[in-house]
Amino acid sequence: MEYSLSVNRENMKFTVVSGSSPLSGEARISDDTYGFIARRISDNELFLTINGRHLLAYLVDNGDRTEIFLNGRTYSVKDQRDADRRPKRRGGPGEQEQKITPPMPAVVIRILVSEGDAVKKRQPLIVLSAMKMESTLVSPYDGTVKKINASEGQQVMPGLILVEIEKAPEEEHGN
Amino acid sequence: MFKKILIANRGEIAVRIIRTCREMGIETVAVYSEADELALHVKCADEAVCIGPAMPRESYLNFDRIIQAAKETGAEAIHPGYGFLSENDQFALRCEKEGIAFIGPPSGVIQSLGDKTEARRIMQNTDVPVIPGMDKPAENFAEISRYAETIGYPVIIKAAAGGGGKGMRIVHAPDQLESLFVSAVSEAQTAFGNGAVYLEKYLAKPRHVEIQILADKHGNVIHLGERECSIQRRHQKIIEESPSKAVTPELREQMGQAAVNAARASGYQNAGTVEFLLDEGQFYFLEVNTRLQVEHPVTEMIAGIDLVREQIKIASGMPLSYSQKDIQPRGHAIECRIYAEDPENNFMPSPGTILYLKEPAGPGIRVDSGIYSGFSVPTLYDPILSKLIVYAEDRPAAIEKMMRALAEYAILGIKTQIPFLLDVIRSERFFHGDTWTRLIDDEFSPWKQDSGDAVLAAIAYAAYRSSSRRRGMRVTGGGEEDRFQSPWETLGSWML
Repeated sequence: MEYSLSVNRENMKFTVVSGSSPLSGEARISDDTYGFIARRISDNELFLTINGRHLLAYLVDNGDRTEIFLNGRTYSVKDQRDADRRPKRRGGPGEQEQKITPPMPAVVIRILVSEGDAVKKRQPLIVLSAMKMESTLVSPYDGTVKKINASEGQQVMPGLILVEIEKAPEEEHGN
Repeated sequence: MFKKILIANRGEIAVRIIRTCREMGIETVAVYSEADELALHVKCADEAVCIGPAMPRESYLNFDRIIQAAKETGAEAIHPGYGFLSENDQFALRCEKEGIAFIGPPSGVIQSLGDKTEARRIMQNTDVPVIPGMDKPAENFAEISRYAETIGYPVIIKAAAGGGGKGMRIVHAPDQLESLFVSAVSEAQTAFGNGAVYLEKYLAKPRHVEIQILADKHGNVIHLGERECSIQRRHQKIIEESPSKAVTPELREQMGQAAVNAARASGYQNAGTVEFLLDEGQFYFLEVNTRLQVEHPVTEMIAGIDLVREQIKIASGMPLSYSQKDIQPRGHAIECRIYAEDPENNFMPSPGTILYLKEPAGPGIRVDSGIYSGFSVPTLYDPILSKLIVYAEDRPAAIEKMMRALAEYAILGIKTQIPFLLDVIRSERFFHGDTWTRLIDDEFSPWKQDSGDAVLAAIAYAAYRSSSRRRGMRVTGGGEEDRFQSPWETLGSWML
């Protein structure tokens, strides 16, 4: 069985050959071979013996990744096979930054613009607070405020477009 | 003694206070915001009252709702914990007027010690050393120059009107003073519209060392030794310990006496902390915290005293249970604060749902926690999740125990700074007690987790996947999904 993983954003390809019992085998990573036996204790606990050494791993599936806690460190594992199955995200890099959405669950502290306002690129639009830290979202470009989808005091989640901006027609460069 | 106490706080500190109340046979009332309906402190208390919407000012800072909750439930006293209303003299005053015992100092004491200049004056009057500095802005360069000679280099020029580092200059030698003075004045003028500056002694590598005090209503005051809290990020402590490697028995006696004098001079009652900066064997008063501190457990561990129990007894009018000579700390305790934040991203908050939690255990380990598996960490409050405290016979053993405990502390679903804390705890600097308040900024920023056991994590992942039951999409190629049989399935017909 071939694996192609990203472990904490580091790519790792390896082969697992299953042994005689269902949960033992050999993993070949680069030039190294690791013999392992695994016993599943619960949905979140795995008791591993790797090259004869005991190891407890704690795991959860969290959206597009599996989080694994081992010896005081957490590893975020993404499986390339899962990524291939998912529809590719459209649009190039940078598109995401243009959406006015909170980077983390937050509360709207102040809305600084109204629908219909003309806004300049980098003009502050909305002030959010997450765990006592305030942050300001700014307009990604010159344009007009088309719609505001939040109110002051509201709890908002990443993905929700808080302010919709209609982009102004491109001006001539060189200004 | 009180029969019922309301805890005007949330999270780990509310749980910690409830536990002592229960041990004392005192009933507890939790208060909670709409965001905290399922919080641990609500589940632990005997009864609970919702005091309003999630925003702190509408709930945990809402005097009326909290007082009303106390009256409705018949609570005779309010424990404010730390943060929120704990150092609000107006709230303490309100409790006094309503005939509810505020478990903390009298409102007048909170007020006078909360005013930093007044606190500094109280300290100067009782010969507690304060950081040498000018009391008002300098008239001209000559005055700055004279003053620098008096207090000795290095010195720091600060803008009278501002903060945030603007108009601030560190001066190491007299020949730099004039040019740095001119640029500081100009920067202050630009930033604040006011070029006034003043001079303070610059402490290059200060440690944060504080003294725990207890004072009853009968004039008895004792101190319980020091805590060192130099390991800080964003000026907030994250690792604390007691005793401090930098404090000798003589220095402890001096600082302890200074703290006791300060407490007496201010008419202090209940538990409090006098904070100092310690630089090259010299200590300087910083401020008094008129409440229970986050890091109080390290003192409890080495002194063998429950500070919350003492607070409650003092508030009910009982005299201190201990005299100064009864306080004989032994061993060493370290605390790590566990926050929902991302150490790889400038310690930004990382709220979310805790999908899995396993706390460390074993001899000498204490976890003061406000979370559980399945709990959603609200976005509106301080991101502290819990505190991990270890106790051992000496400092090296305590460090080893902390490393072991952190490595056992699994919190999944949100980011915590546990891997970062491990790196700090096992660093050479920390091992040698070579610590100062800017250590994290100077030597651990930016921080990235090393690749560590990434290979083992990859194997764990592969084994986990192949052991998953009916994961549909995740069936391995060719339909040869490995299925793990639990011991229960293979057990046969045993009677259970």
